[in-house]
Amino acid sequence: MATGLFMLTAGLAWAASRGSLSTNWVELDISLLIAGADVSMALLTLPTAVLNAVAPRELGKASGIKYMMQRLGPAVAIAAASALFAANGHLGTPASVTDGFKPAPAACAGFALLAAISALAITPPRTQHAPARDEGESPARPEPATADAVD
Amino acid sequence: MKPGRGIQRAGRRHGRGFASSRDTHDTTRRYTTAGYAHPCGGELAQVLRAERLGPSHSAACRPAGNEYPPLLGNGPAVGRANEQPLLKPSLRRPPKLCENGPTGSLPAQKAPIHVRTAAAARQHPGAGPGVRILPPERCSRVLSGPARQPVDQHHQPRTASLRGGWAAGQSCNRNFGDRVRIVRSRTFAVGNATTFLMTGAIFVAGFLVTQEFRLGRGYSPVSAGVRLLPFLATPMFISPIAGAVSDRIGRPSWRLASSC
Repeated sequence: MATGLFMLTAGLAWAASRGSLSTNWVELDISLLIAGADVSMALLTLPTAVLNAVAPRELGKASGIKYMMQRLGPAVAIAAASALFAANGHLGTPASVTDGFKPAPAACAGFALLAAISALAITPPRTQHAPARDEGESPARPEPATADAVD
Repeated sequence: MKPGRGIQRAGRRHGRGFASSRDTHDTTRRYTTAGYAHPCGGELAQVLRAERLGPSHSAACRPAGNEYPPLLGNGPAVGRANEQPLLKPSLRRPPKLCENGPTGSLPAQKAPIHVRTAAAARQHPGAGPGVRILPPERCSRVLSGPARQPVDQHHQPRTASLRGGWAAGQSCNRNFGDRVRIVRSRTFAVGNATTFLMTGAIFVAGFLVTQEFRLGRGYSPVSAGVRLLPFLATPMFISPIAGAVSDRIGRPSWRLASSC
């Protein structure tokens, strides 16, 4: 997962460094191809890791929170990138659009880099303790294995 | 409508229509074998016989006049029961609550008492707000249904419905810290932050590259979409491979999707 996100960072950074009008679209697409391939690597493992961190009875809640983050991320990021675009260019001429576009993949790469760094902090849940404790614990505190032991 | 007539009419309708009369018999058998007990203690056949005999025989069974919930009363209910076998009617239709024990101190009245306020519910423990408490002579036995919840004496019932229960299984005694307990899990919190950042990067890339292609380079919409395909269609091909690789080399605990 972290590997995929680091490669996503690399692909987007490549797109940011070469994002000019003189660049052939094939090169831009190759960088986007790498980014797309790495998105699929992270996009699969991340929900698995997130949903495995909670007890089965809280899967619905966890899934809801994860989906909220999944929608909130694009909203905030597009707002930030649009502000970055408006600070560097405008929609008047193609050159100005490209001027505004240049830092945007850099912002994407920054987002992806932060995501990769945070993905490094993901620790696997203590699943060897979880089933036994899950049955023995009271319903008020069902999963102390991941809640307390990793703090 | 009398339930006996209702089931006969429903059976005729289904026999002429899309279902056979055998289905109706199956429904009857399912209801009987599902163990649904009438409030009077009888099975379905006894109930129907009592209803056919007239109101004088079934008056003791009825909690309040003719307001007994229509057991198999209408045709569509029979049809739905065919699609969902072994569904207890008591789950679909909360029965009326009759209190014999705790409300024994109530004065015997002819008209049923409607308890709708929290203060009145606190005076009669065991009955929640909106519960209709009938006088003892009109109830043959105490019913318990899904609408009957034990009232926590330390909380107002209204407060309890506001504080707890946005997730199933929560009682009103939980505080807010228990509810956000899963956020304290480091994997969950960091995974959510990663999801936030990653989806932000993905969507911003797709959004702004489209703008660049359309406005900066002047491509037509179709050609811009085709040039964006390597970014958007690659997961379609890479995802199965990546999933298999993740299953093979990933940490084993991440694969325990159902046994965690």
